[in-house]
Amino acid sequence: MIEAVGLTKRYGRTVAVNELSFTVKPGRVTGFLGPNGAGKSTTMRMILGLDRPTAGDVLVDGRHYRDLPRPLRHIGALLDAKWVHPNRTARAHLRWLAKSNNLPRQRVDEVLELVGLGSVAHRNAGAFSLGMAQRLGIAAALLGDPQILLFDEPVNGLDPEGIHWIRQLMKRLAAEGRTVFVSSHLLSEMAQTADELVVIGRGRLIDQSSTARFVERASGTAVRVRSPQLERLRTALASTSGAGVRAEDGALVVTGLTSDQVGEVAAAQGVVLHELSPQRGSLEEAFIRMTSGAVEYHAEESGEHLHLRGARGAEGTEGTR
Amino acid sequence: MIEAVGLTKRYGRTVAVDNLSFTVKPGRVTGFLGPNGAGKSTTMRMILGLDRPDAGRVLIDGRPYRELDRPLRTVGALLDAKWVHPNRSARAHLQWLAKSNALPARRVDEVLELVGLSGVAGRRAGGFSLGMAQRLGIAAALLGDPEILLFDEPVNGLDPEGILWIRQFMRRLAAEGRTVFVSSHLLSEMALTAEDLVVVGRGRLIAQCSTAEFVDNASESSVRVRSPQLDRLRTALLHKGFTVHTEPTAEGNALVVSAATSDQVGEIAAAQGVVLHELSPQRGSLEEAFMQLTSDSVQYRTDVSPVAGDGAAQNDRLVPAGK
Amino acid sequence: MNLLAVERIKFFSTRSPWWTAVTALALMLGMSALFASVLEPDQLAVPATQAGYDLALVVVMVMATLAITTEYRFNTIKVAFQAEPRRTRVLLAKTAMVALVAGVLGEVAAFGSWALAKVIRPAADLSIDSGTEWRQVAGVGLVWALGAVLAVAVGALLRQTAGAVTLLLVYALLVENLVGLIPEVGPDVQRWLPFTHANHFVRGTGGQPAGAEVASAPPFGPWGSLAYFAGIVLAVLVIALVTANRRDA
Repeated sequence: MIEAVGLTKRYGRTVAVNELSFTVKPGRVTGFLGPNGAGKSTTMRMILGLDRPTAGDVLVDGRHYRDLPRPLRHIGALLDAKWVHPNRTARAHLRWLAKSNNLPRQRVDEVLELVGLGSVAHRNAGAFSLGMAQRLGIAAALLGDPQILLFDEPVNGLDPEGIHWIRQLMKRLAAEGRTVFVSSHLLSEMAQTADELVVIGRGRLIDQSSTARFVERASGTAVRVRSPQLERLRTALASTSGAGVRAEDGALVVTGLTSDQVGEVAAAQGVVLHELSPQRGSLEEAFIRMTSGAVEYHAEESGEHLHLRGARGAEGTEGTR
Repeated sequence: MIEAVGLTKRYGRTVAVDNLSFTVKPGRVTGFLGPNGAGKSTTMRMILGLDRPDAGRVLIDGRPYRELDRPLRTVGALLDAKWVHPNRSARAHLQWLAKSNALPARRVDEVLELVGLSGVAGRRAGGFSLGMAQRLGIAAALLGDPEILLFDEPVNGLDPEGILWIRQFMRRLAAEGRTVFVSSHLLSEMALTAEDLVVVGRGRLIAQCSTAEFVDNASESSVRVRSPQLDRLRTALLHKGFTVHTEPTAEGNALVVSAATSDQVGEIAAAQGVVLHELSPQRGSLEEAFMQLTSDSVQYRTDVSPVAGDGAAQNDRLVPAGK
Repeated sequence: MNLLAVERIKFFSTRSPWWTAVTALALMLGMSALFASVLEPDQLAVPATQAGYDLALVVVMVMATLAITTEYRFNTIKVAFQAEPRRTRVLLAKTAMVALVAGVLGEVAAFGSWALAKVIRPAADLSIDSGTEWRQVAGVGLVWALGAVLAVAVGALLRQTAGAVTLLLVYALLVENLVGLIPEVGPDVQRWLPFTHANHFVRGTGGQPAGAEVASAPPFGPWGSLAYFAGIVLAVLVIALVTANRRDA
């Protein structure tokens, strides 16, 4: 369990984190989302006692990080895979870490096997690809068999197999009752991994809720229906109160009703259904909607500078948006 | 148009790229997928004439890269965002590039604005975050307004807004008739971006087809049904010879019917007078399809089984010995 | 004890400490061999065998600086503070480890240089009899250990290799020597500077301050000078520890 209360961090006149309060509960994967510069990394560093809050507090299992004896046994973290001495071997890196928290030496080889680095353990970490460095960082986080895990962009540099692996690993850790807190920019990935979300922008909390609720609230839900008797269904739905219906390439998209309700209407009319799928908005859409206004570098949207002047006509600017 | 024919590259005794042939067509975003060490970066470097193939060739609009006159006007590439002198400003970096291909100086400010870096153009590139460096790399790729664009992991380091922006941007470039060739490990992202795929493993071609075909070929389609009369429906489906299994969901149990279309299941339900609460065709994911086809060409396999992922055998490893 | 072991693993699992240690040793032995070969046996005394001690000290301080600044450069300090949030302990363990290595290396280098000179010039009177001679040889390890502590402290304060190494080199090799050249006040200032005292401890001949001959001679005897040097080192270390605890990692 991680609890932040009124957490604030100022650097000079910039407020990086602004009265942030949230709770990360055990037994679930909690995603930590926000645009660049929203204060995610600063918050993670404050959780780990690396940075000192200007105001407010963040507690790990009710205690400050600095007061945890053998902290690696409570909380394991991967903040940056490149935080390794490049001329030290992967095994030596984990050995000193294990030693610092009195963990048995064979644990080093166990975690190296677990992340698939057993065969390159004797190689210098500086020669590792980003994906291998990432695995080493994950090994370090798991070293103390902690109940709480923090990951900052864990899939960075991993290949598809590695991405799948880390996703399964995080879900399994949560299923074992651990607290898993993951920050990532890859929303299509987070949509598959996170049960809960903490969303921040410009250092402030934007929302804390379950992933499903976040998406639902921001983009609503719709139901897609296909039927050989589409017109009859359309008439029936149009007369149902609260329903919005529009046609979309041979199907109906119904808003304001659940798929259960649409199914009941169809059954009452004796209409055969060929499809009845609830359509969920994407986490990305929901996120962009909730955080617009909290973004640091906006790229130009119009595309008017896409072309070398004179080299091309004006045809391109409509694009596919 | 990019054409590779029998492309081969050896480093000592390792074969990085092995007799690889593929075509990247204009007007579409083509994804370039493969596990680590599959030879993607080597292939991209050979396309750009940075590495010399040991055999075979790769042509850009019918000519090798080295024979292109003012190549930045034909091919724009982002291979590694960190290929910038850290003490040079973003603008100066683009200025020398523009000069090298006789592009007008004002083009530099245009592309800087296009990628949203105008405000920091005077700052040292070394002080940029990865996301900003990535945008600078994209600006460099666009400098010569090229017909062919190559991107290696373009969303690396970008935040969600940046990821959405680059995805829409690549699609727009393709819609204008350009050739867009993107390599990435983020399959959920590629599923949203790429219309065609070139998939490699251990330096060899595994598949070249449309994304939809690739997914459909590798995973069979299934249908998810929920109903207040689920047992009656199950009996009817089994009677018709379908394979069915039950799946718990937040809204109660659902049936997953394998190798069926939603039309078929809907007709059976109607014939039985069963009320439906959901009837959704389930598509396999690009990730599932990819893992299935490349499973024997992965470099660092972790001992959690990649597909099943139950990992029961490994669970005990999470507990340190001697505790 | 655990944290000392941590620092031992860290220290010996990269190459740069080995290289710097070998360089320091080679400098000491080389200078001793040079003096032993050049000087006549009757001119060769115990202090000449330690001629390379201050140059080698600079190398040892570079080694000590790197031990801490590479932690900042590669961000492993953040991992270390994550593993043990009581930062004072982490830094003290590192300081102790580096000081121990520097001290042992100093003794090996000092007695090695002395033995080498003896082998080259068996005729010279190089026996270590007096307390002064013992101090002139065995003292090298003490000064190296303290110099290493100073370097770790400066490294922890500046957090970057180039700055810390430059500061230490420029200060130890140039500033202290040049200060003496300033007219009027120079010598008075110089006699209170730390490395002047370190030198006085290792090279000082008698038990008395030699103020009569040299204007900038230190105000204490050799052991007083050592205590003074240690005091300054300790003060810088305390500043470094307080700073490290206050600022963000």
